[in-house]
Amino acid sequence: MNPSRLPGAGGTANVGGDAPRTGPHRVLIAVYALFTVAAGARSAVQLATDAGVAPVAYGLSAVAACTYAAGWYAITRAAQGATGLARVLLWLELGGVVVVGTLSLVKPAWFTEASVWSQFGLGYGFVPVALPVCGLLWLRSAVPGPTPRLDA
Amino acid sequence: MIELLTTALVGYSGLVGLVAAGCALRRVDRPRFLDAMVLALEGLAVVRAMLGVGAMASGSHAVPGVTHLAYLVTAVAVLPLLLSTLDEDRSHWSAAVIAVGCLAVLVVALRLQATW
Repeated sequence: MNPSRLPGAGGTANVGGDAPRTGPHRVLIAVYALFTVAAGARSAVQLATDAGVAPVAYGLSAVAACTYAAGWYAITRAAQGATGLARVLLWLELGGVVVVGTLSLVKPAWFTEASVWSQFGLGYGFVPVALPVCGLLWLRSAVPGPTPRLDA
Repeated sequence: MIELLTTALVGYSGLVGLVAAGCALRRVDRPRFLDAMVLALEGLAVVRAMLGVGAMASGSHAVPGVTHLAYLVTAVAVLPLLLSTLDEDRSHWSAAVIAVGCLAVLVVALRLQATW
């Protein structure tokens, strides 16, 4: 059995691989949808009006928006049992937030304007750094680990 | 009038968010009256957006900028977007989603006040 398609990933009913009706993934999906819109609108406005002011920061906001859109899709799939893509994307997202957050503190000259992930998402109440962590915790709790072998 | 409506949007989104968060924390299914409250909140956001666009179009208020327009669109679009992710779910998790949406509307309404 493919471990990335385990049934019962975090819902109360996941019969036959259908999406579970309810569970904490509902909130995760909602927040990812919100951040797709927020980061997408922010980067679109910034790139359309002042692209030359801080291309790195604005570009990173666009990357963040794409990441959230992918995360939205991946968590929806994970809720149906296919967790492999979500696991990879959430780790990538967390890595992005940590790298950009650290760089924004160490090399502030590179970030004349804030991006979504600057200072670990300070401008968004640190939700950007909390979100992938919550997603990974949900995946960990929803998908059981390998069953221990009981040698008779 | 628009300032008053924006203040009402801030207060009412906070109220609906608190009710939704209460349902989620008490783990009770999403009550029907919460749906009605969300509908009223969406109506308020739509009226606020229409009056804002009307004031800008008529020239009675200068266009505050692209950012303000983005906030106007977001205030109207957030709740329908989140409700579309719920399908027929009426569990306490759906109330938590509504609480998140109301918090987003509250923040956007505050930004509308700041950028008007």
